[in-house]
Amino acid sequence: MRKHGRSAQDITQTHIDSFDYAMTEGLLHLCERLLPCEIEFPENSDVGMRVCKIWFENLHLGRPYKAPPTEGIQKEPRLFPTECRLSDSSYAAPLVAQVAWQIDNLSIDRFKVNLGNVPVMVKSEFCHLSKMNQEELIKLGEDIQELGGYFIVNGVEKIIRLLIIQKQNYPLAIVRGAFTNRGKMYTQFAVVIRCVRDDLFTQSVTVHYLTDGDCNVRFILRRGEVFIPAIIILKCLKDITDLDLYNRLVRGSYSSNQTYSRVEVLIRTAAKLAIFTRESALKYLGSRVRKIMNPPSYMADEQVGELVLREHVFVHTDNDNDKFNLLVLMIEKLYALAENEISPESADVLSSQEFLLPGHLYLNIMKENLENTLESVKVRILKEAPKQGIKIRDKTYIQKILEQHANIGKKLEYFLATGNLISRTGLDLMQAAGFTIIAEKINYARYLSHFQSVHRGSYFIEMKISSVRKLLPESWGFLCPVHTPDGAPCGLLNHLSSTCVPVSKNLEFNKKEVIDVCHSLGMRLMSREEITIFPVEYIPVMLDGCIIGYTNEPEEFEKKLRLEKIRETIPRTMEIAYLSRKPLFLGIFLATTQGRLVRPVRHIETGEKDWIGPLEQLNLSIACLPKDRKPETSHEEFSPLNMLSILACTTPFSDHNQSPRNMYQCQMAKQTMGTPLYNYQFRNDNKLYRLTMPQKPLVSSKCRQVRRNGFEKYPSGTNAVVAVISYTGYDMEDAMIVNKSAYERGFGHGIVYKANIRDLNTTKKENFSWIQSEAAKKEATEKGLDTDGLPFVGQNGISQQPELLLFNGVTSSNKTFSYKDMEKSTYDDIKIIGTDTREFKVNFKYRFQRNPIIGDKFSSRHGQKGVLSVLWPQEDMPFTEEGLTPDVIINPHAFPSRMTIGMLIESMAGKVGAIKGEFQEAAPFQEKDKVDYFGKQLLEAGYSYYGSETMYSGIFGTEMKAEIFLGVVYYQRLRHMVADKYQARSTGPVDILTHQPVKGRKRHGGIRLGEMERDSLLGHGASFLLYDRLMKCSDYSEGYLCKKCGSILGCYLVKGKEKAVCHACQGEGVKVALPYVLRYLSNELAAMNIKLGFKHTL
Amino acid sequence: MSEVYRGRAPNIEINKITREKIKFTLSGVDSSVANSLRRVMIAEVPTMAIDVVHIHTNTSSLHDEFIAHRLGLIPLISENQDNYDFPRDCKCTGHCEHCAVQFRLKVKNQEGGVLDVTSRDLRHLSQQGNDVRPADSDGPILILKLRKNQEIDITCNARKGIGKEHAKWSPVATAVFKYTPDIYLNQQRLESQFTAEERKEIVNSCPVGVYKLNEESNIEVVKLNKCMFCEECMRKGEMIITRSASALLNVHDNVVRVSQLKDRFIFKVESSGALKPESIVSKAFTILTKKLDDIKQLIPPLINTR
Amino acid sequence: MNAPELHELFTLPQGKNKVEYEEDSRIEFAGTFTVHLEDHTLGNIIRMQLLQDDRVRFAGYKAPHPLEQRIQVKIQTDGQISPHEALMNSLESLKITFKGLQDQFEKQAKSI
Repeated sequence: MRKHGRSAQDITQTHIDSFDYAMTEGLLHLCERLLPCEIEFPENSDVGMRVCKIWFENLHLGRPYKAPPTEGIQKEPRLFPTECRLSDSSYAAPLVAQVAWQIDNLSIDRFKVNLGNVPVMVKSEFCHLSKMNQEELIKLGEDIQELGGYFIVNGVEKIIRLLIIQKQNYPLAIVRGAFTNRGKMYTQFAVVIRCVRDDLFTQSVTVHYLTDGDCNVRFILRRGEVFIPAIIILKCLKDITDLDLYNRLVRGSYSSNQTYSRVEVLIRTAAKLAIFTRESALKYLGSRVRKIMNPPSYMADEQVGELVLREHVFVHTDNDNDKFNLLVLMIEKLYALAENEISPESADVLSSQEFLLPGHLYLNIMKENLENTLESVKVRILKEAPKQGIKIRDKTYIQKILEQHANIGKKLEYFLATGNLISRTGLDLMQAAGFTIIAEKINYARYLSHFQSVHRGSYFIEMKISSVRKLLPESWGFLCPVHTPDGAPCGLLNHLSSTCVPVSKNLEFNKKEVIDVCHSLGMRLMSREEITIFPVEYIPVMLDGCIIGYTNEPEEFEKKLRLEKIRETIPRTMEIAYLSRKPLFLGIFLATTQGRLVRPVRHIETGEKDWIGPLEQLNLSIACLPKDRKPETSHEEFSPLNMLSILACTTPFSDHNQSPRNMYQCQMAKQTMGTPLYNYQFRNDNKLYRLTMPQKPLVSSKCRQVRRNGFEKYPSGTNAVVAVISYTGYDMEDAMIVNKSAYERGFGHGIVYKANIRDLNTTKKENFSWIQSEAAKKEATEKGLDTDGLPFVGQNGISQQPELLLFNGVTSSNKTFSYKDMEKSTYDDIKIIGTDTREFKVNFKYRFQRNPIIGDKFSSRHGQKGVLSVLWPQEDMPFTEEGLTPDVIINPHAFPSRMTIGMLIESMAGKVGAIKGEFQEAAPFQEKDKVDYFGKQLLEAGYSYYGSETMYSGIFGTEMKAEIFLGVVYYQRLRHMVADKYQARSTGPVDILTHQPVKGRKRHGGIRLGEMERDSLLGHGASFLLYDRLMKCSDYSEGYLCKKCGSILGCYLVKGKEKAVCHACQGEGVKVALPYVLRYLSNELAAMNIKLGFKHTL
Repeated sequence: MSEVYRGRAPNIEINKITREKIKFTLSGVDSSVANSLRRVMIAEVPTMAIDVVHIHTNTSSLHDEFIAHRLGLIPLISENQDNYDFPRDCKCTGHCEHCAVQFRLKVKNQEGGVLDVTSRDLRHLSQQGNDVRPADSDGPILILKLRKNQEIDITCNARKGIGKEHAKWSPVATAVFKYTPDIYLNQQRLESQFTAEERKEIVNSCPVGVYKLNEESNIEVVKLNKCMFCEECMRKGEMIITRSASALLNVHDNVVRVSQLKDRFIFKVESSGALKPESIVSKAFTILTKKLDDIKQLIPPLINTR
Repeated sequence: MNAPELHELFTLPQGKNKVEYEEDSRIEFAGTFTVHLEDHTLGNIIRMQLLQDDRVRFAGYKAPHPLEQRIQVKIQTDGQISPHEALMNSLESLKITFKGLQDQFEKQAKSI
């Protein structure tokens, strides 16, 4: 395991490592495992062959390069992420396959096929940036701390989110009512195992318990479910006599439970089907699945059966013996569950879960697309065979067809861009959408959190039950209890704890060695050939879903094995889970696979670092603090902070806050304007925020979690002098008063960058291009543009003012495009993408000065948000005897109910920090009495112990009776700004159909006066206001009502006369005012032959 | 409101003047007068500051608004601001020599490395207005930094304004007053009922060190003006009395009493560098007098309009 | 965007005089002076000065809204003088106070 916890790079490393693994080793395994496509032609066809085979021999992912440069011009051939971001293109590298092609088992032809450009993860092995140092990165226009771990698709940075899935290769005993719906005799008991092969192909197998004691095996084949009696599978896997099988399953326990009688039922099922030998069992299996598998006709049922076993049953191992033993173990576990000897396990706890890593999912999708490619090539060839005839034997023909059908790059690009999974098999996943997220760079905290976020799966969002969302003790140290959003995704979207790492690299070890080590430590090996029957005192030892032996001294064995692990004779991140107590299913479960979670704790005996997993942790005694040690305690936490995510660690003194406030802070930290990056000029994001004068917090956690991850380099707030006082009334209800002078000196100043790409490809087709004539130049200058038809950098963008002038060389006319935004901005940068000949786009980057105004949102780091209510003049602010006026005034009522004592301590600590000129430590769970620690220092510096001060009214100059709590608090400016949200209209655009105002701020629409608002006005008797809102300002219209028949539709104006006559009854029409929708309703009803008539008193 | 002090005549006494700071005592007036003086010094004493910035070239890494803001906050020596008009009062359109002093900042880094652009690089555009220049008694003020081949070319106008409009025109860093402390020590009781140890406790209770033990280990007030009315000493004295046997006797009568003289104000004014501290005070008086006068002039016409 | 215009600090609202007076319709010898473009700086000293006059029965001031640049001074006298006179007197005595202080200050400043 690579040394962990050095820099922010580690946060994305999981993503990068998994991608690297998938695209190197993963691709190799994939090629090995991918079944050849066999095309069988009818006997009388004239293609001159019976069967041909196509398969991928080798797959190779390259690096991103631009299209070969035109001759003579020496350009950089490599494609870099910056260019992709700026030009809205994808950072992709070619996937080249070596395809083999064999006709009728004769000689093999080989050729290369380009399968398209596959998006490549930034900073992975396949990225040019992977080995670069900071200087090189800066030269390329990257941020100094480019972390990678994401893809660039159409200029957008996309992350494949970590997904929680069932732990692989571990049989899970589950009780689920829904299992009874599987069919007759089915009970709620089942044992499920999710098997993962080395090419990351996943296949779940469920063993169901039936009411009569029999077991059925269920697995998914081509999206359909297959149920096979367990005995058949057992017989398929091993030629075994019924007696041996009986003994193997019963293991000599006849006393308490009913196992033996169940096993009898199980074995009898085979007899009922008249299956006794392995061959007959395979044949039976083959015949059951033949229709679904659709194998070539020459394959016998036995072969089909073997194929199914190999490809779909317990795919994590190739060894039939292992498969047999595993199934036996699962049946044992199932019987124990049915007998109520063991308690059911839950799929919702972390101990039975692991992660689906980005690279793994990517490889799975790639695999399925490769299969689909072969499949569609097969269909195409069979379709064209009669026409093409002998030509099909031609290598180039096949190559051409392959190239036409292999658009794997586009498929993966689609996947990344939308997050939608288009799949035949569903990849054994529970969702088809929502796999990817945009890596928003609103600020550094948000960006980092994206890589740390773990989702339970969108399937669970709609589930009404809340058990999946619960915070369970199993996730201690692995998932942060604080860092989850409130609302819909609460508990489903979690974040990794600061030291927790998903294993994303293949552990380099030899399985044989591990078995040997285990053997030397007293484990009895499982014989491959004969049936060894271990008595029930022996408990199984499983390694990655295969039984490797049994032991009757598990405690000893586990201890020794752990020492070996610490000594690194076996992998350091191997999970050694010893389930020691009933009602657990006893066993020692070793796991080395990827996607598992591990975290470091100190092994007390050796004092070394021990990486433990969630299932392992359940059965260890780990002391959080030294004082928690008990006699049985074997491990110790390195720091109590390890349970928190990196972001949660940054909340100062969070151990003094009420817990929901810390959750809110985790939310708000991700919405602050700050310093997301330093390479603004090379970024093209739709919206980028920047705090003009950010500061490092005076009070911050200096724990390793925070320091290492570079939070100090990307600050997102300002230290403010905060007085807690109810001063003018403008600090009511979470409003905050800001000192006008502080604001004028730069407090909270910020910028929003927006980018707008003008696609001019269509205008290019109309012959518009850059200015070429003097007249056009003159016109551009008159319109306030430069002679090239573009505005000057630094010029203001004002609503409806021209920003681009193009010239039509054919008609020698000009075309002007104007600035669209309502808000004034400055042209920060203008980039021309493409050339006149190829693509034609102009990218305008605007800079909006967003200094705080009334209504903008601010927050401290303790979930205490508030809006700026007024900019109060400095001379009117209260002042201390030193002449200090607060930058911010907040109301004391913000504290009693919210109990954010951490903020009060931060205020004191900030004051000490400001006086002494030192940064103060603010990590939670410090041992010292913080109030006393800071209080004493305040006293020393000549302030009162608690940080309160005598203040004078700025208005009257008189001393205030109460002492005011005054200190320094780090304030964040949140991105919610009035300038983005204000909405007002008197008149404006209306809906064509109803003539009512449209909705939406963008369209300059109205704000709905809904039913409740209407009710309230009714309740007040404000009928004029109601009439004004609902009629005058909405769809007021005038029309004619027929006095006789009461219709509002029939009247028409008689020519020349000021009179309206009803079309239907010739009655007299009178002018009335009515809402336009009423007329519409009347019309709709008329279409249904319903007349709407009105009684009137006219 | 506090009591009215009519008896004593208004008096002012300068305690200390340095280049950037002044301390004086104002007495014989009530807090409203002191406060008005403070408010005027902060918000209404005019100075000169850069207000209009034209950016011709800016290839630095900082954006235009940011540089303009920084330029605005540079204190300009404004002793002669009386020679200038407020731009809103000036008859000219745009700017003229009566209402603006023009500067130019034109720097290009040709050598490489990092070049600091400071307030010393601000050059006057014309001969006039040389009296208005960046204050740099504490050294030049950094505006921005340039890397190789980065360039900045700016012309800007310094104009007259007041702190009410924008903090950059405020001539003070702080202008503040406080009540004069009045400390009463019941020496008799302190000597008779308190041990030397307890007296020391009282002395140490003051966070700012107002008290000192003299040779006879009696409490002595040494830094009266430091007192910030935290009343720690009063509390300490009370505590000692309560815990001792004498509590039963005279509980209400404290040995240490801190009160305030509400007609004596200790002022502290720190200049931003634009004006000398004494001229800030003196100008504040002028402005206040003028304000009062202006209103007074306008009242007689109102009498007849009823 | 939603901040008051800067010029409101210096320019009188249209159709308004710097100082306006409105007599109280219900109380004798009482009225309200509205002074535009002034704030607590003047309001507070005027009020305090008025209170020192025995002939003034009531004196108070307010700044009706922090975004509006005006103050209102309400004066009620006992009838010996009019509110106008009371205001004039207090303005005059304040002026004398400040003038005196300034002279003292400048004299001392020069000597240092």
